[in-house]
Amino acid sequence: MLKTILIMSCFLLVLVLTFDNDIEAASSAKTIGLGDEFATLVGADALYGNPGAVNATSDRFTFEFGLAGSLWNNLLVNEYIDEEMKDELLADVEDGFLGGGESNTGLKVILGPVAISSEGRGVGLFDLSYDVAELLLKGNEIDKPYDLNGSIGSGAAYGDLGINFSISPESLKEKLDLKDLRIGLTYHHLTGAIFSLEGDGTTIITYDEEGDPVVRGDGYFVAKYNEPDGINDSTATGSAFDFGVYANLNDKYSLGFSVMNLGALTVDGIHEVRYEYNEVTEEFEEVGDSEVVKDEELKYKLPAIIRLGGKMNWTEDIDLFADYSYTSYNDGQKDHKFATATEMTWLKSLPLRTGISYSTLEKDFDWSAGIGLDLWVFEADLGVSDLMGLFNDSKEVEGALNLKIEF
Amino acid sequence: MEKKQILTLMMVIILSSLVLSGCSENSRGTFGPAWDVAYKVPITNNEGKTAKELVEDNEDIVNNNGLIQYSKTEEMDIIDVGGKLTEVALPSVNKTVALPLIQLDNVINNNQDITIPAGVSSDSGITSTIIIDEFDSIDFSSNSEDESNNPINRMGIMITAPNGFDIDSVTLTFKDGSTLLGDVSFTNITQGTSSVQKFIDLTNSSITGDLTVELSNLSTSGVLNNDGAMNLAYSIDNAEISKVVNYTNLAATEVTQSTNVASVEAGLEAVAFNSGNLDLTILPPETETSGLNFAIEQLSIGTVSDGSADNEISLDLTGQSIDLINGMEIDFNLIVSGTNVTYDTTQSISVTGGFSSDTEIASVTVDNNLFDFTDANQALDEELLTEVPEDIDSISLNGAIARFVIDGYDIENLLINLDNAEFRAIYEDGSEATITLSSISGGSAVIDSTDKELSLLNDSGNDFLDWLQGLNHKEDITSIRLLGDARVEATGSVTIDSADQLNPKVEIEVPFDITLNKDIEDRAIPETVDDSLSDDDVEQIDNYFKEGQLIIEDFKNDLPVDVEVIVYLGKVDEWEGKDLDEYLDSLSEEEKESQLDKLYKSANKFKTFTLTKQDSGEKKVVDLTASDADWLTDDNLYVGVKYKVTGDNIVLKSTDEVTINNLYAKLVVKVNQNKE
Repeated sequence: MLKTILIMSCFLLVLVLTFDNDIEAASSAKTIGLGDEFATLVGADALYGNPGAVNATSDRFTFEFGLAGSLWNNLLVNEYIDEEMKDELLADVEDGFLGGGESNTGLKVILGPVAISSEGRGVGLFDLSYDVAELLLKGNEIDKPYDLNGSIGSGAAYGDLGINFSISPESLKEKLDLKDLRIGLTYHHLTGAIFSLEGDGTTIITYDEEGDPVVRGDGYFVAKYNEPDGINDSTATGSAFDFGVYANLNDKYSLGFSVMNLGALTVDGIHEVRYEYNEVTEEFEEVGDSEVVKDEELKYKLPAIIRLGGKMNWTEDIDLFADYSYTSYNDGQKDHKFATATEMTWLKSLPLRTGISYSTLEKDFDWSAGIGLDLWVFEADLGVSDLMGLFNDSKEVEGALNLKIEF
Repeated sequence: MEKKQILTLMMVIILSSLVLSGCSENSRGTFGPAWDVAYKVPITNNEGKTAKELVEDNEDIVNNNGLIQYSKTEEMDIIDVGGKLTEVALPSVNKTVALPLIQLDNVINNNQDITIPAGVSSDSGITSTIIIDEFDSIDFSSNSEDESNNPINRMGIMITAPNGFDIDSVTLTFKDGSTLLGDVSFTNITQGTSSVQKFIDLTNSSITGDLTVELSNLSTSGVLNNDGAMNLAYSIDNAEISKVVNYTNLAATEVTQSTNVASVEAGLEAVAFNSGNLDLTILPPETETSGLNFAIEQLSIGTVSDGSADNEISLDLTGQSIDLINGMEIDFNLIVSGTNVTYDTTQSISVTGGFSSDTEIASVTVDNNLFDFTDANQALDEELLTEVPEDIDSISLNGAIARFVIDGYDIENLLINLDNAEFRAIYEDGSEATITLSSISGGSAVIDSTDKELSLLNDSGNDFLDWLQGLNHKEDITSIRLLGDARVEATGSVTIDSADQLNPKVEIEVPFDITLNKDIEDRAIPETVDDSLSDDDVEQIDNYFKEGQLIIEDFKNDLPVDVEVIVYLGKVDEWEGKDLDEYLDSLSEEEKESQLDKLYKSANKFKTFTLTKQDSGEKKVVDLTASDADWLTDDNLYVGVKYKVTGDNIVLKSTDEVTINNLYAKLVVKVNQNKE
């Protein structure tokens, strides 16, 4: 019984940590420092926010290596959570315990209007029932049913080979009397692994009529995934498109609009594993043969994002950014994110960045900061979030480092 | 350095500090969230022991509405009075029945003239032959009246005087051969007129052929010039005869007969049947010699009758009862008829047959003075106790019950006599001690259907419980038995249904309190610890263990002394793969205790709770340490709970009870925290 409880609880913890391990960030040090992938950022950073703005710089060549990652949830904060705080935190997740993350690691080359990127990316989101959150945070109570219903999760770890092309329609620009106008499109070829997870039913640890401990209920988790082994039928493949428009109204204001991640990864042969309590062995165990490949399609839709933003060159040394984005995840979760940031370049070679954002999905404010270092054609950027962690009130962590040559 | 550059540099430093400290530690020295999780591992629930379970593992001690009682009911073999006493022998029938006397009407009704010679005026020796054509011979019975007191067995005589003279007097003497039948005299008969009718008594007489009639004492007024004819009319209107030979015309005549065709078992007064038939064949005398036509109009045995007018009769006995007090009597009505027949009461009717093989008796009624009840006597040899209860000496007789009870006992007038029954204590060395039931009950141990029981208690100090208490060396007693027999008797006529069964039993219910002078321990049936922990598990627990407790969430201790609840945890390889409850139940008490010793030993003593005397409700907690996880590393682990009550001259009362609810382990582990 002890082991059963440990397994049940640890399974959930491992589940969360598994998400954490698999997730790699999909942003850059600059976007993390500012707190969002602003639609008005230009250059290589725009590959994550607005494909129309990738070539909206005076540079003709960029070579960049970057790595980044982000993790978030709506329950756990970076503090020691005592019993009183557990109740407060759990009160905020009555609709479900959410967590997710993104990552990317790779290279980008921009040459004039064309940009090519090759990255390893990860993205995922889980949404666990309140009871699961309580079980994870507080442990189990005897004779209390735990409802797994509504617990879902999905994600992908994949290689992303992208090509971006942006143009500047001169006639339209002149007609609209814009200082600059860019329209861009990015095509992504995707290959990798995807998975989904679903939980349902209830589980209760109680006593039987004889007073002997027993686990009852029909609670279970079902995981579906593929195991890529090179590029073959067992690999999830797909493609995605990003579309964006960037407009420089004048020397002071810029606007950006983009639609990102229109695409999905699919695979036909998957593995399925069901975890449930076995009344015979009296253990919470894996049911089914995970080695068997089922002839079933599994699809993971990338989190589609609609983004609208603006930038104001407040002074020669201070830029202000504001963005709104709407994200639709594979499992149906919706996120509205509002972000504002500033970049200060009093020292040209040492740009400073900070921003604040609010996510309706996370139900949390994030404070981010970043710093750059420009030396001739070399540039390095570092971004960190969430600085609310300074006050042990953060439910998110993000970090990124970018190194690039640009001229 | 310009002011702007200084400001910028300061902001760089500040932001850098912020960036670095963004990865700040929580208060537990790790990055990110840290918390404690409490795993609650149920062990057992609603585990309780009553005082009787603590005192003695004796299923005969029960809690009856708050009273702890020694309660023992020993059922004995049934006394199958129905099966035994209704097994009576039904008779077969093989009987010849003489033909009864028969009443005939209009046997003779004739007249003939007797010639009176001319010139006769006085006795002249006139004789004449009376022709009898109706039969060859006839024998009349001795009866002169029938059942309605009408005269029978007489011959009516009437004469008519011839024309020519009056008959002043005449006597007619009738003879059958030389045998005088009788005579009749007439006077003053005017010529040409008839006399009154006079009769000759034929009782016990026979007519074997034609009769002769002699005239005497004749006296006339006048003389016949020519021969005259005196007409003689003679008739036999009603006769009861025992024999008639060659009777010319026997009209259909009913004769009845009632006879006892079989004898039955002594004392059997009546039998009622569930099913079956009485099959009879009734045959008349040889028809070749008698010429009689027979028909059986009605046959009855008591209320059972048949009117099928058949020689082969099958009486349906279903639901019927036959009175057998006077044996088995048959009444039957016969119709006889024929021409030129001979009816002779010395001839017989043959009645044969018997009860069909599927005849099932529903009940019998027997005469207690004649019927033999010994078949139903029941030998008694029943073990009531395998040992004398340890606490028998502390038994209070207030409210005690000890009795010999008979269930299903509703047979009026039937008695069960237990005078020959006794309780016998048998010792290991074969010696015995006894007490008779008759001595307990004051001389006669008889149970009737009104009381249905015999008390085994009395106020004389020599009842069953007194005897138990007074037995020497109780610990050496191996058996208390009831021996002897239960005799079936009756005080009057008894009706016994075939389904009647008496269920004797001995009931003993003795409420008592127990004075406890020594420690008592009770060991619960162990339970399997289904998961053992691997070394890695133990290391993980050791790394992340924060605190642990063994908790009794709720308890009740009614006893007037503290109770120790000791939890044992240990490895017992012999029990691997066994259903422990079933396995232990299959063992003798000694073997079971031996098996329990494998777990309940000092090396396996895990934790101990103390339940405060006469307390309840408060949670009981015993702390666990990380090293306690080492207890869980073995396979074939079992956990058991032992109750220990320290004896200190305490009195356990009827309501005394120790219960624990929800015994569980609470293990608090640290998540994302340094090992401290």
